[in-house]
Parts: sequence; C-alpha cells; structure tokens
Amino acid sequence: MIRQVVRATARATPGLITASQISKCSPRVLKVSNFNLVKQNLLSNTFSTSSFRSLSDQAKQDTAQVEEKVLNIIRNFDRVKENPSKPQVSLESNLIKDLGLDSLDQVEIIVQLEDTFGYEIPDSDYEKLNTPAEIVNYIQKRLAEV
Amino acid sequence: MMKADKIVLNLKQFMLRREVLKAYKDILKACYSIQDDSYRNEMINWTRHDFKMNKNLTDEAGIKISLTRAKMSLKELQTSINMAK
Repeated sequence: MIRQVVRATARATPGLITASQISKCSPRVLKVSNFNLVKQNLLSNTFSTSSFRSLSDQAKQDTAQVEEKVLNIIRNFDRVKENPSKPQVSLESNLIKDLGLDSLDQVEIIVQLEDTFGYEIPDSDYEKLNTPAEIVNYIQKRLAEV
Repeated sequence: MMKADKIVLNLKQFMLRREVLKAYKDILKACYSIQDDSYRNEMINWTRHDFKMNKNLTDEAGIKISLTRAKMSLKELQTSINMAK
C-alpha cells in the first residue's frame, strides 16, 4: 500500500490528492508523500514561495497535530470524561496523579494511540509515558526516525 | 499489586506486573479487531472489570493464577475472532 501511495503522489500534481486519502494514511506514508510533493514544487516552473513549505514549518505543524490528537484521545477516554471532579487535561497533567487513572488505563490509552499513529510502542516504554508532553515527544522522535 | 508511590517491587513482582500489563494490552488489541460494535464494547468492559477486580491481589500465586486465566481467555478470544472472519 505504501508503494502505491508513493507512486501516486510522485505522479500526481499537488492538490489532486484528496483529504480522505491523506487521513487514511499512516504518518510514515505521509512523510514520503510530502517529500514527493515538495520535490515536484521544486522542479516545477511556477516556483512560488507560498506553495513551498520550509522544513521547520512542517515540523511545527506536525507537533501541533500530534498534540491535538493525543489530547483528544485522553479527553475522550471514558474514565476521564466521567470523572466527577472534571480535571483539566493539559500537556503537563500527569495521567496517574492528576487524572486519577491507573496503569491499566494507561495501557488502554497507549493502545489507542498506537492505533491512531499506526506505530507499535514496545512494552518497556509504557511506564515512561506519564504525561501528554512525554507522549508527544516520544511520538515525534519515532516519526523522525522513520 | 499496584505500584503506589512508596511501594518498591522486587524483580519477580516487577516482571509479573509487566506480564499482566502485556496480557491486558493483547486482550484489548484482540477486542479492538472485533467488528460487531456491541459485542466489542461488551468484551472491553468485561476485560476491564475482570482486571480491575483482581487489581488488589498481593500474593504471587494468586496473581499467577489470574494471569494464566487471562492468557487462556486471550487464546479463546483469538480463536473465536479467527473463526468469525
């Protein structure tokens, strides 16, 4: 599937890839397809600065998206939603101490994250991910390695 | 056998806890692949309930027994999912 998308993005002009296609891809595929799109922009005659994304912009956008997704998953987790004291889910809120979850819930949240980002997180790293900020850092490191 | 702030586990307990969490994760992943929505939610709730009920066990033998039961349930779940496909 990855090969198909890479080939498709290499041939296609930018803008012809639909949003639904992108949302169904895993981040790994997105990285490669973005590279193809940028390459086309470089090679095309109409080289406008607005259509060319610098690498730092891309990285910032990714961070914001990852943070959004992580926070959404945690907010929609039923034990957090039904918590009577309605704690605020922020990047620094500790899952166990602030949100009152236990290690079983932590495992569940990480499984949902694995599903969302399509990346398998090894068991040894489960205990390290205690706040959304750590989770975002971890995911970004992994995405950067891909 | 929850790791509270002041309790430090010895190596065997630590490995056992790790196994329990791994079994929980594997069962949850198997549950997520169930197509039928109501059945899937039922299985997830049953899993959570079972694990949480045994959360406070402290004797190693009891924990091992529950862990074995969990692994057997996982195998049953996986075979019934494969049969349903």
